[in-house]
Amino acid sequence: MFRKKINFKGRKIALLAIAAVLMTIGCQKDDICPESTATTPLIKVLFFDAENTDQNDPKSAINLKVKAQIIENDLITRSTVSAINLPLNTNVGENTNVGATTYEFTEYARVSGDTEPNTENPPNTDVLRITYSIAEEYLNRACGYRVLYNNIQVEISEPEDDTSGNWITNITVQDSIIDNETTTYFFIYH
Amino acid sequence: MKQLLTFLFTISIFFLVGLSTVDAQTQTDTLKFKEKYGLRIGTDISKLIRSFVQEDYSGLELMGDYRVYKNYYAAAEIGNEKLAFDTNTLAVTAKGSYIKVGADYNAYENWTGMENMIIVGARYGFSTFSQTLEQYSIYQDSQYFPPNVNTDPIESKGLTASWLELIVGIKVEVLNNLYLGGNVQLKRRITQTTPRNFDNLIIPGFNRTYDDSFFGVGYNYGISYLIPLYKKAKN
Repeated sequence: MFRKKINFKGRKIALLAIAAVLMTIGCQKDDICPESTATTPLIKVLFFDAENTDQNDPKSAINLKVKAQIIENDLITRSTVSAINLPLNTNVGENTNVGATTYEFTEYARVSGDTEPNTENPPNTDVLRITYSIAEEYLNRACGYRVLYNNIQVEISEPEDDTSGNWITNITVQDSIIDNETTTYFFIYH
Repeated sequence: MKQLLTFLFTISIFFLVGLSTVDAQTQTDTLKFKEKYGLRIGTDISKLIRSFVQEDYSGLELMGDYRVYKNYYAAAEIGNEKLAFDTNTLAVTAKGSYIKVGADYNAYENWTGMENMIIVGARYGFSTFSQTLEQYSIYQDSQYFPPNVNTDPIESKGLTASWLELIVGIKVEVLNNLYLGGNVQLKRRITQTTPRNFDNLIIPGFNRTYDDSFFGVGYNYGISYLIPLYKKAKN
């Protein structure tokens, strides 16, 4: 009788061990969002020469500074590049899915703290107002949701009290639906 | 002194093990011990404890089984649960009711007079529930703009799920007709309706789900009482 009882207890312990393992699996924290997941896309922008529109021959913007109007920090601080990735503000107003992000693109940006005027190539700021509608899409439990953009439009203007004229001559929107990061969406001619 | 302790120990062992045994031995002094058949009803204690301890959980499960033939039992559970689940990017709650019906097989060869069980069982489970996305944030690789966090709860009602379940467990008669038991459950989801543009992250009765997997796990720690209806000799 006693042996039988112990035997029974042995099986009980084995079962409890299985239970413990299953519970550990059951309670484990979900994985972090893998980097390969396509989340909220950035807008790929390429710069071209206004006179030479060959798409295989981009032209860099010199000492480009990019900054959103509502953000204090620069997105790009004075670098010479022919391709950039622009994030859009996904915070839209309540009860609407229409959003807007306004960027200042400055060519020949000054080194910060430099007050001496550059007469040859003075800084020139153009304002790009990008409007779009957003659609939220569920990815998985680790990444949560992402945003896709539809009906994207761009307007160029001059900041107030700027008389230097636009350095950007034209922008073309290649695809008004933004749902990946492999397509180049904006071509900027300057 | 040592003898006395041994004596007391032995007595206590008999006392603990054999309340039902003593009963059986006194009333049937024959070779053929008669086993009890009847309806056993109980509740899952772990869900009661979790309801008190965990702030974001409340649940109740009633369970019953009926010994149909020898080692075969018809078994069912009904329950109601409110569960919560959150990750770095979202938080959900779900509440609803479920029913599980199936059968248990007692794989334990009992020593005469004992009626314990090692259970291997199967269930079909069905749950009807609602899920509320309490808050979520938009996942963005770029941190340039302030995070987009939505804190307005979005409730999806009328969701359902069904699954098959494999159960392994034990039931021990601790007092006459009173059983304590535990089991672990491996679940395999068959059908589900999901909210629009979302997924079922938790399902009452099924517990949490896994992305890209149909499986789930569960456990039960129950107390139950046997209402004996008749007795039948063990063959």
